[in-house]
Amino acid sequence: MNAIEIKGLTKRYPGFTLDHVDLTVPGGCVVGLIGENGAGKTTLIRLLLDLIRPDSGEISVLGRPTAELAAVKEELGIVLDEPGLPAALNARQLGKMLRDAYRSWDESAWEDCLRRFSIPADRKFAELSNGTKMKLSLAAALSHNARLLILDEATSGLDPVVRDEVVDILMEFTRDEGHSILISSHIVSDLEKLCDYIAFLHKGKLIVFEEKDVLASEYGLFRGTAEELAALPAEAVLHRVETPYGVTAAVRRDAAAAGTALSPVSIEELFVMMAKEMK
Amino acid sequence: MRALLRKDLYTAVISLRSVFLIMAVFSAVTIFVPNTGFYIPYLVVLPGTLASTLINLETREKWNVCALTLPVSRRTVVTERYVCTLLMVLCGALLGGVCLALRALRGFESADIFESLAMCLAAGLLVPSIIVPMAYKFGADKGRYLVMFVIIGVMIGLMTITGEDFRMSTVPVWLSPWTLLLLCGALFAASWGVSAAIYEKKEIG
Repeated sequence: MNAIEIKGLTKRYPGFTLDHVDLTVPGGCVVGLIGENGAGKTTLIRLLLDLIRPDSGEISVLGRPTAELAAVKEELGIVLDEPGLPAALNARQLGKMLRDAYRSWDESAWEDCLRRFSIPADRKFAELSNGTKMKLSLAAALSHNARLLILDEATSGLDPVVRDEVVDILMEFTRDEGHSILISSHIVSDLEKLCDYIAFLHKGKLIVFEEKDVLASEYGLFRGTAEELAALPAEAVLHRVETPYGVTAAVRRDAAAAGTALSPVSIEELFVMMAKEMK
Repeated sequence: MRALLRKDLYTAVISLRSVFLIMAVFSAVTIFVPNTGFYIPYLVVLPGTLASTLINLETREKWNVCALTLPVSRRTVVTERYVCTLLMVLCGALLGGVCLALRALRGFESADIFESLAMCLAAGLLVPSIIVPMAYKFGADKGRYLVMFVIIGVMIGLMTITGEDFRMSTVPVWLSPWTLLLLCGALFAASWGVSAAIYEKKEIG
């Protein structure tokens, strides 16, 4: 079963439209949602969580339409871009509150997360740093045996060491075949480590939704002179960056002439070039 | 629901200490000083107004968004707000009742204690009945101003209808404190329904 299915999802605001997005998070997979600020990642996630209502389109989460989302929320671990936990409460009080909220609350997992993330149990949420607030939110999402994690910029604000640890924890989470993750992030390198699929949103439109490995094999990085690049078919070149030392371009391998020297392209490089191409 | 109630209990104890201090001072004054019975309605009305304070706090902290990621429905979120408000108003009424009883024992009170308490409780239920749907519809701050306009409007309306010499004696006989309490109780229930309907349609975040 697909963890998330989105068909023709549209939401209009003055000056922005999330436009007919089709997206699937297959069961047991990690889908990374990338895009610039204002591309529609948070809007998409809020629509998924039924916080805002679509103008058209269908959404199903763990087999249920959003109107019935309450029935499956027990199985969702959610981290929003702004954690929003009660400011006056400390981790110990939050743990008690969350224990009342989730039937499947796992106290030992919660305690373990607090230890791993070095979260002080007695400090008010309002007094924590942004990174620690995010870690606390992640700890809550990981402590009730969720089947699906929906993470909106969950690694932003974390230092590289903690981010790496979080990525490890998420990878651990996906070892169970029934577990899936939809994660949006600006930090594409994290997604690169973690994701099976990459979805690229640009100005409200889903431009790419593809397996990460396929993307990496479809495109290559060309480095050479402007003349050498001009010799390639125009449709093969995705985006070029010219410097005094030469030209760098993302190139479709299947459209490039045989024998063209292309080095592997990272998802981050590809994302940046696609975004620049569309500007 | 239990999780939301626990959160409100923690928040109230930690963040609303000043309100409880005011209530303690009012209580002490009414018990020990004659002619201060007019403070007693505050002991019941004040907890009723905390509903909009909590909604305001939740919106600022983005808890209104976060709460909906828990396994609760929007209706449960609204129901909890009303249950919590009712509990606070009842606690205020209990405190008011104790103060009234002690005042009666000290000879400060001549009116019927239970009727006075019924009037206070009616007022305690009336305020959140109006404020909470307004806060859900327009936000806590705008909602509060709108409630003030409504109250001023009603007062002007009453004075226009009954003339400038509006007195409690002009209130119809059938409108006893008990009838008033029943009416406000019904209004509180209706307000819950209205708030639930508003919140069901609201875009959060």
